Amino acid sequence: MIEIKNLVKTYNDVYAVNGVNLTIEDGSFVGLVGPNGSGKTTLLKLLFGFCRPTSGEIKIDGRAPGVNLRSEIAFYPEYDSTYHWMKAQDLIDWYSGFFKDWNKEKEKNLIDFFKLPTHRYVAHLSKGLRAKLKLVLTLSRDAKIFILDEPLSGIDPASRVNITSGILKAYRAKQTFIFSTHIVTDAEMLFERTIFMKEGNIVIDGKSDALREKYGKSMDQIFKEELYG
Amino acid sequence: MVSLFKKELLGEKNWIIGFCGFVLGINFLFLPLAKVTEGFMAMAVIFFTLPAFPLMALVRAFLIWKNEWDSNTSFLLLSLPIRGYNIVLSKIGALAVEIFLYVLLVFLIPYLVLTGFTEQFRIDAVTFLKLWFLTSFRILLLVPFAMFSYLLGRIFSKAKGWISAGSLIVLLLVYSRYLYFGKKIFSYIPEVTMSFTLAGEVETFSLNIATTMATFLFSVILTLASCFFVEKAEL
Repeated sequence: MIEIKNLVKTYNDVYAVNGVNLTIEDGSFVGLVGPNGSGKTTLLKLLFGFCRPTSGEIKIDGRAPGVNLRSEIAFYPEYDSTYHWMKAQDLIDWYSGFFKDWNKEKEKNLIDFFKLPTHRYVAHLSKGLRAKLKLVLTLSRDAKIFILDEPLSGIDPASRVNITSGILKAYRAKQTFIFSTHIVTDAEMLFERTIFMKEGNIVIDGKSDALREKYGKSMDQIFKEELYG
Repeated sequence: MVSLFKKELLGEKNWIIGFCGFVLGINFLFLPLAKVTEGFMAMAVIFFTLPAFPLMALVRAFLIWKNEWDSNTSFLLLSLPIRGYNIVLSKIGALAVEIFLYVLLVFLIPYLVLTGFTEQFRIDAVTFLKLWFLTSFRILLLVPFAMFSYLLGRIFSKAKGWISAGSLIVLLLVYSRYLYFGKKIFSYIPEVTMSFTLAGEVETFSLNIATTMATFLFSVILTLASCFFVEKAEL
């Protein structure tokens, strides 16, 4: 279980995350939705331990994020974090060697599903293919928690559908998925629970079906009308 | 750690090829002078290239980390479930290979030219190896200085560049003060004396090992601190 209490993160006196309180149960698929600059990425980086809170507390199964938890959490960064001088398969082989929970079968299935040309150098792959390569690196593990930061950002609509299908294919019950996006349309079908963020705060949080019923709108409409309206 | 080290070494491939090309180029530039001036000028290769290496070591140690952050590969590297020392030592290992290789090239070609084609210069292989090892090792000891400074800057949310640059200056000042006492700690270690024959005369020179060991101790402390910082670095 993930427990976040009064979490604050500031950069040069600007509040990126401003007093977030949140509990995420094991095995839930959570959508973290909000416009650019709403604090989604900072919150996810704090969860993984890529940065430290200014104040407040994060506990994952009672432990603070950091190196000790990295064998249990898989992180998909928004940015292109791949080594361009490597061949895709070499990168996968190199990265997989560090993880005990690496699932070779999942790796193969995802490579086939995404039609990833693993014999090519990463530098020669398109942006969409690099995103898929990062997904292979993230989702081929049997981690307890998956943190996906904007996996649909900068991807063409056809590939977005392919990517969400790939994520769904990799999802196993009892695994926790936290998926941040500002492109709600293509991803909302995945979310069991949706958290809307604005200016570093959580403004709406609830079960996706309940929110649709309460507002009488789709997630995309809630996003556009409640957050921007 | 072996896997990380291989990755670092392969990642540095272009740098290694570039620097080896530079060193070989300088060597070949000076080679004709070896014949004209009975071999003495080939020594110029060493004097032209070696002084640049300490600076090169500092810059390379800085860049090997900066590149990870600039290309966002730090997200991949720091997502690995390994302690910071694995990452730091693999990078130091890759730079060690580079430095030892460059210094070998700087020494080897003049050595072959001077000992093989002229009668003016004679140095035995053991002395040559000692000289190569000690020179390379001394240059390598500068690597943790730059790594410490860069990673110290990275644990702060703001003014990273200023903190890195400032800490390197402070570190060099502290080191110069420390060296006075550090040398005393290791003063029991005798100097290494080496000799070579130049134009029929036997020349002898000594290398101060106490300074090297004092610097080594300082560098070990900086490396340990870097291992801690890399786990605390902010992305």
